[in-house]
Amino acid sequence: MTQDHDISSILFDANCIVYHCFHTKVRIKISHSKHINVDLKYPIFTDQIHEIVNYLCKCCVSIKTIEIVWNEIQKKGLAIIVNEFINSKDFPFNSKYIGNYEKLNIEKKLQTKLQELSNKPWFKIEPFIANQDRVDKVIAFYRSLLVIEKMIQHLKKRNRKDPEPSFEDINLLIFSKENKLPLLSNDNDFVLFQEEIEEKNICYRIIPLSEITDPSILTK
Amino acid sequence: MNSLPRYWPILYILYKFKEIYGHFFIQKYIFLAKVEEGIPIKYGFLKNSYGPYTVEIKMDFLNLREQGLIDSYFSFGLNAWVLKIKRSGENWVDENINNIPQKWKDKMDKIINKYGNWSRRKLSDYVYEKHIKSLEQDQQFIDELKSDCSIFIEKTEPLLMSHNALLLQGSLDLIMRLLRKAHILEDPIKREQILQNIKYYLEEIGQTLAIIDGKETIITELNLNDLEEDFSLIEEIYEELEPEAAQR
Repeated sequence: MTQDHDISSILFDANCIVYHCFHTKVRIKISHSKHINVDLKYPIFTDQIHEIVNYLCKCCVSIKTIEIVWNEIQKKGLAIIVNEFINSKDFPFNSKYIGNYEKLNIEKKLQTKLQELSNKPWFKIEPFIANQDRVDKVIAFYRSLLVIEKMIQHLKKRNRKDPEPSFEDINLLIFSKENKLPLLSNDNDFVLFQEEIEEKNICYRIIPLSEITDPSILTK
Repeated sequence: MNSLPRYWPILYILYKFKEIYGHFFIQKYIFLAKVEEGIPIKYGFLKNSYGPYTVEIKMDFLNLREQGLIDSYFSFGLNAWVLKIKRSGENWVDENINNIPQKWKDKMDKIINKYGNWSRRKLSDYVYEKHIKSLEQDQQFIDELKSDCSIFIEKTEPLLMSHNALLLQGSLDLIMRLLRKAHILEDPIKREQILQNIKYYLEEIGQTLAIIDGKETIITELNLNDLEEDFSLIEEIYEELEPEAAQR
């Protein structure tokens, strides 16, 4: 990975921000009458994101996101990921003991982590809403992908009809392009179509999180 | 203070009375000391046909008799069990009296002085009117709240996942757990307060659901800060009842 200018900031998508916050101590019920305190993390990605963030801080590279993505994480993103994680096979405990109250508590703790993140000097939330014609252009681009097998399978898997990402994610792509900021992402709406997105200059650059084996690659 | 065995009220009461005619009285004095004077007595009472009752007192009584601290025999003349403290039991109280906080002793003495000469009938009627009747009425109230809560749980299930949806679902989950436990609260005033708090909170949820009314997507945009604040009160109650499960 090469940069055409010195990197001073990296854009994070919603998933990367949630993975960063998804590290909290919770009390989990593990049997009918037993509770234990555990250190709950999103498998693989939380550690990976922390390693990346530590490296970027050391290199004085700031991390950015846009305000509408940030608000969406607070309103929906955390709750969705907590719910998905607890019901997934990655959850390391018996989820039958995890009721909605426990889910709410985990989500509330992550909300606190989110607030802590917003206070970090190296983290910036940018107010940004793209012009409608630029949004339309991104939508048109994604709709043009409807003919490719990769998109058909992607929509099938997500049980979705519309190929375009959410309004917030479209703005993230445009913000990346307008500010020449690479976008670190684990969202399949971006990473699956990285080649097409970059080829059509929809976004400045997509960096798939799963491809980062060494964070130093981000600044080389 | 913490090293006091849970049976201390049995020995203290028998020490004061020297002898009592029937387990009924011991059970009721200890119950009243707990619910009316708030002495942190470790026995948990259930409602039975003789009023509030706990088998734990009976078991401790048998153990104390085995240890030779108390004695009991059936008096055909009185047609009642006579419960007596023995010399060794009195010695135990003399040795431990200073470990019992003065305010607990004062409160226990207050119960003994107030109800100590009441007949079985009078005491039984009083406990029923003052404590059990309200428990029965509360049970009806609890059932009504449970029914409201179930309806709301059903209504919030299809909501699209969001912080607000999880707040509604999570708080209803906790309220249902609390309602399932509410009957174990012996203090009628505390029970009443908890049930009123739950009722108020459920009304707020009802109003929120009325605003949503099928338009599921608007829930994400609602400002539920007041509801969230009121929920912290409900959580405090839960933490008190279930310290083992306390999340915060």
